Amino acid sequence: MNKKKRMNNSLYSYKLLLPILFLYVVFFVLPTIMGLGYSFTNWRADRDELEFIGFNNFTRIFKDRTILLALKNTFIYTVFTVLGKNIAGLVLATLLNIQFRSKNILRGIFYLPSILSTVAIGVVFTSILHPTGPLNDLLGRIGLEVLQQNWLDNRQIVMYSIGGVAIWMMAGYHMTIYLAGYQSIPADYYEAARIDGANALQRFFCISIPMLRASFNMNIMLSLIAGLKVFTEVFVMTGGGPGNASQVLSTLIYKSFGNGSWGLGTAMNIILSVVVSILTVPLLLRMRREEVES
Amino acid sequence: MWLLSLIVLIPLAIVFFGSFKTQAEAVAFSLKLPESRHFENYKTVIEEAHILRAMINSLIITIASVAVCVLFSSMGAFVLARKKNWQKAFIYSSIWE
Repeated sequence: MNKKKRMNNSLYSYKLLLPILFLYVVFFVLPTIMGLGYSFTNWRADRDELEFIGFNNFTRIFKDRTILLALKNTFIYTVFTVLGKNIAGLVLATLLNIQFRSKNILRGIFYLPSILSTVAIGVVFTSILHPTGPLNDLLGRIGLEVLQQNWLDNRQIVMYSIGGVAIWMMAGYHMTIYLAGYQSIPADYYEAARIDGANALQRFFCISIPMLRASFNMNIMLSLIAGLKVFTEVFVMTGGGPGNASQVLSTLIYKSFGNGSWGLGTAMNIILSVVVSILTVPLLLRMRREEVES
Repeated sequence: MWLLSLIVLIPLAIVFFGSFKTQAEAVAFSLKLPESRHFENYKTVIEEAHILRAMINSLIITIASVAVCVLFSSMGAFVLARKKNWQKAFIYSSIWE
């Protein structure tokens, strides 16, 4: 035992960790620490020297109503997309886990949007969601004029429209993770349940859902982070408009960097990282604990 | 299922058909087949928008980052997976975002 342990240590030396640790420190840890420093200064494009201004950036941010709106929008978007992506992904995976002839090609089709460029999809959907675009046209033709909307210009629904596009795009991606989870469930469980007289719904809720736990954790984690850090979809489709109605944290950060207020931008970035950490770290810890248990 | 897949296929089909249309036809964003097939759209993209150059750039970035990731990450992962002591626990927990 002791001998074996020593062999392990020599085979997998810590030197192997150095390259990745170096990259990680240079490109992640140092910038983060420097960013934290810069967020307390009045760093601007037009200034040569920096001044330490304490928490001024942060108080300014929280007095500003736009960032509160952006926070609210980010949360609406995150909740909507996490639910939408996971429900759509799970439904697709459940349906495509049934054995039938064209299931492979259908899996491919549903996965397709997630490998396309977000920018291209955003541009296409800006046209599709246009008030006179194909979507409203289709709704008019099947007699659902009531549902016709000014998808991207209506302050109330613009976040949901963008979220809908994100769900359209990523549902297939989450489907593949759920499908992978489905493959690891032994078929005997379903067989035993069937013999005991469980119907399809009972089999789904009592076997599939608990057994897919690892996939749920992974998917919720990924979609949560994607939702909180959303930038491309919003930036391409509305640019934060109309007015500031669809402004999210990342687009605000981009805007303040574009204005040249770099100090303010880094301060906002710190706030974004704090929000992301508060929401994801508990989830991560829970996942880790489950990993140890199983 | 095939009916459901139309949700994905229709937008893609609009874009695909649109790539053969004239400017005026394409802005309508309809599912109509193009009246005449304009293959010169592709020629324009290659010759004037230099899409090949852009693709090569993407390829360079992809190959470089995949190579670095696969090599260095697997090196690191081997160590982290094999060692079971506090140093490992520390490095592991600090690397997670």
